Amino acid sequence: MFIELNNMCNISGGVQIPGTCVLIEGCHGADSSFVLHHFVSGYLKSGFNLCFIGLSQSFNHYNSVGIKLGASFIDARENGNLVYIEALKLLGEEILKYESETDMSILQSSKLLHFENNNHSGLKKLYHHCKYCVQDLLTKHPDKPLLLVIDDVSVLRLIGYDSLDVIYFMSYLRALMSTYCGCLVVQTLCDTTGEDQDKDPAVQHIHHQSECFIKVEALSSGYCKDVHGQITVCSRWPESEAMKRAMQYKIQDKSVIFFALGMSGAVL
Amino acid sequence: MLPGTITSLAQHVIDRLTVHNISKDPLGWDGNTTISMESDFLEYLTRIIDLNKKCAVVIDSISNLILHRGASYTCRVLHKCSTLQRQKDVETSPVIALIHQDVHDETAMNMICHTASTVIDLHPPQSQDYSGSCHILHKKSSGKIIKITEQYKINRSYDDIINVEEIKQQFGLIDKPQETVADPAANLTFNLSLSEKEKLARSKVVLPYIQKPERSDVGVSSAGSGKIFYQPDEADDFDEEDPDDDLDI
Repeated sequence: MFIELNNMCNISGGVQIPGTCVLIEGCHGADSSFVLHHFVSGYLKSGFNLCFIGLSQSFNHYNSVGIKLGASFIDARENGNLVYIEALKLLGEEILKYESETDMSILQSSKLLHFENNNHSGLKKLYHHCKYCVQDLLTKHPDKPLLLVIDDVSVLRLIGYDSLDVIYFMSYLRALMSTYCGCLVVQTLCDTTGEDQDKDPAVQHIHHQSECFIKVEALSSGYCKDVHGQITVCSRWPESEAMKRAMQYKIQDKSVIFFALGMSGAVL
Repeated sequence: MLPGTITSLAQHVIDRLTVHNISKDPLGWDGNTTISMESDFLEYLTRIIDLNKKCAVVIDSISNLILHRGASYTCRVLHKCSTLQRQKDVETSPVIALIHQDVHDETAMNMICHTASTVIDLHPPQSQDYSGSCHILHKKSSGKIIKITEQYKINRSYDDIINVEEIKQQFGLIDKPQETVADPAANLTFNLSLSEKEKLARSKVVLPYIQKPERSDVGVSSAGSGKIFYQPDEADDFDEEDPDDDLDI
């Protein structure tokens, strides 16, 4: 957990306002996962409730990073503070189940069409599983703040879900968090190197719905050994002024150093 | 709709407000919902809008509706909202809808903009003192179109707009920098320019190749029958018998 990042995001005490959403966008050439780990380790260290939807990395990966930052995933899971949802496994099972239930002759003729028509079912099941897990967490530790993390939501688009399905899935999760007074942290990766500069409508939509937007991008001037990238935070928390801040950062073994644009020790 | 935004409103506003929350269960996954994205909005609107009272409809946001049901259906819903009350001769009240421009393509945006009588296009502020700027396009029922660009400031608690200022278009006000071309005849030891009197005198000079009007009349009459008159001079010694006498061969 990095205190400077909390100051940048205007989050006091490391806990966001209930019902809010933070979107972390990692661009090509920069790794935004340190921001995600910042939120996750902060919640776990304080013994708060965490529901983690993993789509891009394994549980062991998150656990090792967590241990490095002083928050063990395994311990938290045993204490009942953490639920880790292997989303890809769940979604995969749903597709296999659907295939086995449907007549194979119909499937072979128009397999894709049928899958598209039934596209919601996987995400619906995932949502119900999240809801169950969140309720389970809150029965064990009812008075502690809750955080729901998704890493990362662009994987859903990559495995074939329509942007509208992703938008609905996200709005369900948001509604869930607003019901149970929890917060949402969503990570997404965007590739802006291609010629197609149009952003995914799903990501744009989540951007509009979130109170805090954190963008991590590589330096426009190219790779630098002492400055790993630039982070921009746009926050508009309820009942506080909208703010936009940009800093550069350098990731170290267990921490991150932030400095004002162009003020790195290597430059001065 | 963003959860929690309603609770920050003043109590007397909340009392007069009816919220139909579709965002909480848009596809009916949780069950027990009266309206979802799949339901018939045109029919639903006629059911919920009380035609005897003046009632404004606020939609936050129509982006979901456009993505799910298409832009033309959304236009019909918006049109229905605005015309429902007109049928009953009740004073019409506004329909306010939020749309996120970057989520949609240009066609969908144009369709929605044509349906609306006023389009308020929000942009980042032009100066640090303001929260944002907006282009307003208002189409009056008389046919007049008003276009204004304004910038505004919102107070800290986001419940009031405290400062609105129109941004005047700056066209024509900025003077073009005068092009200074060096005059080659400026610093000479002799005079190259003419005074008015000299110019007048110059204009009266008849140039040798310009035919005078009288001469031109003669020219016209003799046109086509060219003749050479030769009047021998006294000095001309012309011998008719030997015309080549003068040649020194």
